[in-house]
Amino acid sequence: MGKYLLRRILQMIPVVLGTTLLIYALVFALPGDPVAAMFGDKPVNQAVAAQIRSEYNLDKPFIVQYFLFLKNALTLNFGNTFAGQPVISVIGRAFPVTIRLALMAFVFEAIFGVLFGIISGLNKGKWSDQIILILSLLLISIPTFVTGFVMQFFFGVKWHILPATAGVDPGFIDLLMPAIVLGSVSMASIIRLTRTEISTNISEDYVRTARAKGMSNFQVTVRHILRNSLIPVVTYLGADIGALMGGAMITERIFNIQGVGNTLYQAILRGEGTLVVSIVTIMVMIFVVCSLVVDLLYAVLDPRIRYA
Amino acid sequence: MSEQTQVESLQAQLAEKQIANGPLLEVKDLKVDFRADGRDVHAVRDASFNVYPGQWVAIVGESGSGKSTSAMSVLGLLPGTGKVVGGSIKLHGKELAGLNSKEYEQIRGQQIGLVPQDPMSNLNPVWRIGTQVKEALVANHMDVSREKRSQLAKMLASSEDVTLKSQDDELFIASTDLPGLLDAAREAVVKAGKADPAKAMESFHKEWEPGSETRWGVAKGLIRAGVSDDEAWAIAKQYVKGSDMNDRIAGLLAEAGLPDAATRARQYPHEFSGGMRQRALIAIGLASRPDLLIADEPTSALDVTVQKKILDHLQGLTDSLGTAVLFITHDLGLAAERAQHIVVMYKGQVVESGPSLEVLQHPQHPYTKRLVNAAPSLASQRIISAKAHGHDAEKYMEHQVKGEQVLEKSEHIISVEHLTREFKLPRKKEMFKAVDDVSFSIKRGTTLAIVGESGSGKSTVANMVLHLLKPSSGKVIYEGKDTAGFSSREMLDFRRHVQPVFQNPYGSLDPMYSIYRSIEEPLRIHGIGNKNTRRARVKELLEMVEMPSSVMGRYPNELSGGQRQRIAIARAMALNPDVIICDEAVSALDVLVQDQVLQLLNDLQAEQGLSYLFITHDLAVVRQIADEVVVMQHGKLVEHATTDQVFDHPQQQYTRDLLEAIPGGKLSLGID
Repeated sequence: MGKYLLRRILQMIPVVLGTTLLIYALVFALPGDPVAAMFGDKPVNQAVAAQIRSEYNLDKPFIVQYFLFLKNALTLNFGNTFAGQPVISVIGRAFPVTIRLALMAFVFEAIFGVLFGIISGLNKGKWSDQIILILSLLLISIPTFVTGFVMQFFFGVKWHILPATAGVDPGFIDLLMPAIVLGSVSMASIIRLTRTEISTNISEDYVRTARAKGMSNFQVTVRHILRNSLIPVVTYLGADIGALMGGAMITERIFNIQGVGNTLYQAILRGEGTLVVSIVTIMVMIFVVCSLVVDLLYAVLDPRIRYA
Repeated sequence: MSEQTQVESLQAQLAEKQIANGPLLEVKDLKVDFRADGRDVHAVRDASFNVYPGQWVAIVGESGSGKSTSAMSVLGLLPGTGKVVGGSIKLHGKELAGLNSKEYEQIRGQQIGLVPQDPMSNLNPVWRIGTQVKEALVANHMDVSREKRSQLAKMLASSEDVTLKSQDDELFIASTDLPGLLDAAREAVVKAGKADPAKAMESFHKEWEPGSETRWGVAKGLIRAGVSDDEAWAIAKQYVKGSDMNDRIAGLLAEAGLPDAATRARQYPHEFSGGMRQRALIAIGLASRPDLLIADEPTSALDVTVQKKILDHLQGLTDSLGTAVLFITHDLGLAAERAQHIVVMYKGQVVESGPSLEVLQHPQHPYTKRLVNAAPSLASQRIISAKAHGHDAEKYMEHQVKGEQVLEKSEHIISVEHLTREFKLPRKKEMFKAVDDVSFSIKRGTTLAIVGESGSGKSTVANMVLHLLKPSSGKVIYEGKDTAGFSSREMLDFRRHVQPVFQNPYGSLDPMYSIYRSIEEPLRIHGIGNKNTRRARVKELLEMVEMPSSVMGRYPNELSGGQRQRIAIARAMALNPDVIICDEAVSALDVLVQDQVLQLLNDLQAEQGLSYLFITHDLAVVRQIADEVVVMQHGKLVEHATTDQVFDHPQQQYTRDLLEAIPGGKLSLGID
């Protein structure tokens, strides 16, 4: 077990190195000169531009820039943004907002996804199942930005039930609608996953054996059908936390939330390599840690899985 | 009273009681329908049978005959769209058909238990074994501190030396009280000085299982060891005060024959072998002391030796508990050996029923006659008795066994020399020898059978002969040449002439390939003929295995198991091979289908001079088909002789055990 953990943690090193290099290369390959863009419509002052370039190491070859970034990153010095703020403090402001949003979306999709999935799976073929299936299919097929704008228009603008946008440092109510929008697609997938799992498990031999023991229908459902069906659902949920963080970009744009997605979007527009790579690196780490937790959780839930 | 007369009087008493009380289970004119594609399919039609208290009744039939469906409708657990549409099912005279699900929950477990067919899929992989036993106890509100004994069991018990005085005599030993009890018992036995203390203590250690042995059982044991009645009861009362849940779970598992039950209860199903899982399922089925136990092919997924052990154990257990058993099986020999009464089902109807030997010796219905003829266990029995009576045994064999002279003269087509295969086990340093120095040879036009239990290495040998697995050392020689040195062209030629037929007819055909494509594939791979000649060849092959050419456009899922195995044989025959390696090729099939496939293999051998390497765990089948037998145990070859020698004069104890395990071995058969 300990060996397995160590191996998994060591595996994170090449993953982080690889992704940072890739992202760095991509940002470097972006068309346009970020320094020239800073001057806006004004003519570019070559002396100032050169100074900025050397300050941000933009005058050096790509690979040197990358290694300089890595060297600084090891000492947790991510440098400054073009606007002069330390990258670390930008990240420090953006991440808590996104984490709050992602967690709310996660709780929403977990509760409602599993709940509707159970209803649907246990009543396969009945009207409740049909309705849930159609709704989940709708949610899967409509892109997030459509659901986002539609909900924003009706609940926020027209009926004033929930705030239409979230400002700086948003609270629970501000983030409620964005979280629902963000979690809706995953919720639909969870409904379908739970439903499929339950309807296959319900005809398993051990379920029949449990009934033959004289267990009540409720007991059989909880201990044998749900317990086994939720293993893949929990794995899916775990992997989804990472995806929610990344997926927040569109939702954050729609509801004007100053989170990671928005910050990243603006950083890409400005060609700020350091900021983009720093944010992506942290997201990659979250992804890798999440998948490790999921794998460990899998072993807890399913006794047949043992890591050595 | 001598033991013999005691048993007889007990049986008479039992019969009297059975008649006086009427049947425990009375199924009358049962009709069960399934709904498929908007139509009703009649699975069971007007089936009637009775089970009396304490009796074993077997329902025999092929798959699809409605035997499992009938049993499941008794439990109210019909799968999918199945529905009881007519007739009555009475337990203790009370109608079960039409009960709602809440009412049925009261019946299941407490009054009817189930031992299901496939031990691999009937335990939930995520719960510990003990937990799954506990569920049965909790669901039926069982008092885990004392035994629940049926009227019948009480009657049986009272005929023994000790009579039950009060309810408390049924209390179980607790594991915490056991050491104290054993100490007191030793003291008392030594003091009484009548029995050898060491011997008495040994039997106490074995019999006094916490959560299973009762107070009166302890008293009885002490009295037998020479302790006076009063003292024996005093000790029993002092130390046997009732068990807790964990003791009871361990006790139940121990009763079902699991050694070291308390530890085993904490393990998960995947840590158990098939036989151990089936024992756990027996413990679950009997946990709430039902009056009727439905055993649905409880051992068809297990090796014959394990099957015998488990059924012996189950029989002993149900006899002592007075539990009636409805035993579902497709093997008539097995049914006749275990049950007092046989019900034969065919196409959803009961075609014959009666006392076991009666059905076996004088079958009335043509289907029963076919079953009697097909059961390999009975066939081998017939051969033995024909020989004993000096009759010609050959008419009972599928196969003309080649005489020893013929065997001596024939050339070797495949020989293996000192074949060894080692595997690295995870977390262990030493290598595991799956096959250890095995040598034998197959002679042209004959059949050599390799017999052994699962894990004996017989399939590993087959895979090495097929060159699907590289031997760690040793040689496989084909037509006088070592196969290890084959060039890729020679290898292709070897593959063409040595063809496999595997155990699972469901898994060895690609479900996405039509039957035509499956059979044609080897021809195409080896570049034989053009489209038209290949089509003609496929037709010819289908004819050879007695299948209509209309199946060419169909897919494996539309065929039955036996049909699929025929297709697999046709595919193996496509390239005109010299050798066919059958790895448990008939083990998964019903007896009648098995019989047909064996006959087909024999006909093909007679016509085409094929050689077979036949891997099986079932010696009964071997008798029908093989010329020579190789017996393997733990990777080693333990016996190698002609079939007659092995059956008539087995040299090794292990071979004798295997022979012993053939069901129906002790039955006397009428030869007509």
